[in-house]
Amino acid sequence: MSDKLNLYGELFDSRFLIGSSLYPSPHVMQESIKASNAEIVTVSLRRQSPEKQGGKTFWDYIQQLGVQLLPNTAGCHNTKEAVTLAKMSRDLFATAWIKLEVIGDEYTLQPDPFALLESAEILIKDGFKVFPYCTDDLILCQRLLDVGCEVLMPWGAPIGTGKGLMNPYALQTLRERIPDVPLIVDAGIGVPSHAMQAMELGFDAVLLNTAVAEAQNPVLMADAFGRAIDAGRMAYNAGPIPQRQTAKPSTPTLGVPFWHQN
Amino acid sequence: MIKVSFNGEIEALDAPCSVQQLLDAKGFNAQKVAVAMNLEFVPRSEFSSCMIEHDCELDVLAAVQGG
Repeated sequence: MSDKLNLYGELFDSRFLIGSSLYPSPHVMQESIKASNAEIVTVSLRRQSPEKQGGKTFWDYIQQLGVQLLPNTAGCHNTKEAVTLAKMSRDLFATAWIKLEVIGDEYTLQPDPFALLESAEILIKDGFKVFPYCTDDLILCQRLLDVGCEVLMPWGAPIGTGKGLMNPYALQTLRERIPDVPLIVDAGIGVPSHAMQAMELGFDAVLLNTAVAEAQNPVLMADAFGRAIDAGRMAYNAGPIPQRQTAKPSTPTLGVPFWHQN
Repeated sequence: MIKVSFNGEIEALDAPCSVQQLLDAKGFNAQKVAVAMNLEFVPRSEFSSCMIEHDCELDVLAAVQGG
């Protein structure tokens, strides 16, 4: 059975999107991405001095991987900044894909839903394929779809916290109310079981960075996450049993030994 | 002499120049950077024609790791 991930018409075997930041070295980054089997990698843009040769080393490492790049607008706090950075990313990375981040609160790094929606609408009209980093608010997600987003990326928990799915009820509600659009849990994942939980809920993919990059062994952790995401997807496709309130024996009750009529 | 903000730092330039001229003078490879002037994106095709005037704010960005 074909079970490809379809993002803006592009098909992928892997449902693991991985970040390229925070690794102990570029080599470990490269090996971790390989171990993850991820086909989509997030990147960014920052001010550079000429002696860094325009980020040449990082660029070379990333290009060797032959993956689909997903540039982000991390660090932007309003629509103007996000739209300008998205255009700069499209120019440099030669892709219309953009992970749209517009931060509304420095402490929680919570997305600003109003600026996010405004930015998404502008960018989609300009031909971008927008991957909005959003909260799990159903109405925000519906509005993002209204302006043309074909993928949604609600947070699991605040970026870098590793707390896992803070509000599984809201995420499950999103899945039920938005059954036909790819949903990717982005941010807050700490361990593979968190990613698997998202996949078991029926999410289409998981995007994470810190949980792999800051693990004691990032390469091993990338492999672990890849397997968990695959397993979670398989479980979702296999159809889990409904939960029950009371026990139900799994071994046949007919012919139970030592039973006798009183 | 004009004053500009280059990647957040105030610098003095002898005279107005194009974005391409400034990148060359600073040793940037124009193929490896993206440029914004006064928070507006400057396409690579306009590096030579886009002039940097007094009080311009320039951002020259390159690829880095991202999450």
